Amino acid sequence: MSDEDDLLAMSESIGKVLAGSADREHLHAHLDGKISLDAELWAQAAELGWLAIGLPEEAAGGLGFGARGLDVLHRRLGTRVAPGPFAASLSAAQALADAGVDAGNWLDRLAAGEAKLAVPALMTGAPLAEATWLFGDVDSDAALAPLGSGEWGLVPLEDASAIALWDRTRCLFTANLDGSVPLATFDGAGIAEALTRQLCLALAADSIGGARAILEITIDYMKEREQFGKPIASFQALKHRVADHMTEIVSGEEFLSLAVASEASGDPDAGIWARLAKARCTESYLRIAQDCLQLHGGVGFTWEFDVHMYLNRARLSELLVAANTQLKDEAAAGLAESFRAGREPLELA
Amino acid sequence: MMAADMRILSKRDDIGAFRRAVQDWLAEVVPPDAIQQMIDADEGEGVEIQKAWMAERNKVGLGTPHWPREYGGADLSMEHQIVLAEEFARTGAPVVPAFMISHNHLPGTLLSWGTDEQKARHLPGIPAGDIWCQGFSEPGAGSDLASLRTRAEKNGDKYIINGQKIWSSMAMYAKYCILLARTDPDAPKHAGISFFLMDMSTPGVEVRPIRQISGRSEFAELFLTDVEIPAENLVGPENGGWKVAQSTLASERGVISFEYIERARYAVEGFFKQAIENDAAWLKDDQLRREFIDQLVELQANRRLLRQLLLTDAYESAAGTMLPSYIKLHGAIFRQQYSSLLTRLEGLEGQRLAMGFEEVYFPAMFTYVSSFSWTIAGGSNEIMRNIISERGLGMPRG
Repeated sequence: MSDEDDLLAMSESIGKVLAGSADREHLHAHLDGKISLDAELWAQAAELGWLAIGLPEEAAGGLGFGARGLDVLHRRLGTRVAPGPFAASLSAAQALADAGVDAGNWLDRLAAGEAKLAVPALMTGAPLAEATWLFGDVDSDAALAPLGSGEWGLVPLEDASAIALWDRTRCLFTANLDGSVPLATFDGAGIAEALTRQLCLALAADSIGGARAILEITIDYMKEREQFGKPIASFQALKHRVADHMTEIVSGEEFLSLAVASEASGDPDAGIWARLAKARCTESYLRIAQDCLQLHGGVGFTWEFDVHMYLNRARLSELLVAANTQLKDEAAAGLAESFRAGREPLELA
Repeated sequence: MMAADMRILSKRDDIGAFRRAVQDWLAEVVPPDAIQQMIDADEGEGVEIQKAWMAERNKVGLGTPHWPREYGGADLSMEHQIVLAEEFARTGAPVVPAFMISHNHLPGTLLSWGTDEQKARHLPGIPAGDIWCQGFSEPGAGSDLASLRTRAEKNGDKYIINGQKIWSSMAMYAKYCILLARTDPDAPKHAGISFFLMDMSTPGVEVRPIRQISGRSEFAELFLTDVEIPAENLVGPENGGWKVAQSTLASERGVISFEYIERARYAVEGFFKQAIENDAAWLKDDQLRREFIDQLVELQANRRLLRQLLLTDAYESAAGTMLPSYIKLHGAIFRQQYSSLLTRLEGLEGQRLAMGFEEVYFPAMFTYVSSFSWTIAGGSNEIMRNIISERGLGMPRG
């Protein structure tokens, strides 16, 4: 079997598993605080080897699928608005592997699901502090974060305190850093860029998966819901909006695939496309989730229906890592730099 | 036909060597100011440039590279056609919209439905430069094409045509026309249409150019008064023309769109590079710069969608059948939004009256007004939205 076939098979199997373990009953139970679906899904992912999907085989006991493997996983997780620290911890692990730093046995532990990492919710480059909002599991073993003077490290987290969020499928928190000594330190230049790229790709994949899912849920609802004696899916004014949304999703999926291929091939311009994929896919997700609520009418405004989970996740994803305006500015600067260096950044990956 | 220079086609078994041979040849035959020549040409001169370029392509056997060999083509694979499209775009070789119907719709129809005699009579003329036009749309039948009313009445061994056609591209330069007309006015509207080959020099054919928004004329109206078409020019069964027309419309499988979006890539890239070099004011304007970056994302998405369509042959697969509709709608919206942004980036300077040629060449205002041909022609955005929501997403008809 080729890598492509392997990835396709993996994607289908992940989708099948999540359809059972993260169905809407489980999601609502999690939102209502009756179960800890994040922990359940994390344990399931560890057992099934999903956490190793992107990591290199030799160095980390990973499955070696790199950016393409992570893309498959995050699209599936996004489809189910799956709770859990996947985007944060897997991105941190991949960034450590990509930057080629000596991370001791962390990569093996991360691949096996024995450790979880958090990351700064915003990649400002500011040294980790008590006030820093961290993204990941509140029980993370450490945060991969800047320490100041160009250094990054893995910092143990004491007394972490979760911030109640509108997006109840994700966790942001602050931690007490009194006397905490970094477990490992690295030269930060490569890490910061690798982590930014990984987080951007993860959030983009999660978002485009979520956008497609909520639109499909909405289309199904529109075929059932009748007004004026007809299914509302037959009203042209509504159908055309749905067609526009699906066009935005299909083109967003393809653009993300371009960014992923660029990352997978080690393209020096991969950071440009990762940043733009995050901006494009999170903006599409928000726009589409918002209109899906409108297309549901009154029931879209209720807790009982699912739209709010997608809308809240879209809004948070849009704001994580960095403002999309900033990512676009960085991409514009990156393109100018690439042209000046005589490269052809627009060649399709 | 004169035997072609084989310097490119002899490399067909090695795609890298094939590409280099194409590049070497283009470097020789495409002048550095080729794009400017197209911009400066009026409509008639534009057609002459296209004819000259086709003659040049014929010399190396690339007149109709996608056709089967028995009809003078080179039978090149999709991979080869992608290379040609990419290299034509990179060098700014002339586009050949005047041959759109001749190269795609006519063979797409005749190879599926034509008699041996029809194929033998009409296909060899294409590499030699025959221009065909299309007589499908009517003043009362645009998006609802099947409601067309032009009549064809059988009279012995000929059909007598009366009616009016519109939006016929390049009809004023065309030698022949592929024509849809109603042969049975009493049948349901899709079941009473027939497909004909019409000689444009037949008495009763009157061509009136339509002056477009740019002031130029690429389209024409056809007034057909008692035009006699020999019965042997009927393609497919009488009253079976709707099905024949589906082959016609499906014949262009994305290579032309791919070539056009690749040309758009070089246009956008050139504009961006020049702005960087000149330190253009809009690059320092946060909003304009970000809007430009947003459009660049859509350009890349559309290019990659088209390349995937061609490479994976998704067009044939069940899951991929909607892809061309998504690409059409997405591409049309991209072109309109990008060109509209371009006019804002150029400011007042861009309001100087200046013509271009096809939408991929500047100036910005010409590109912007031409973008409406993408949002209206070939299935308007609204029709594409109907197709996507009904056929693609299973939403019921209203």
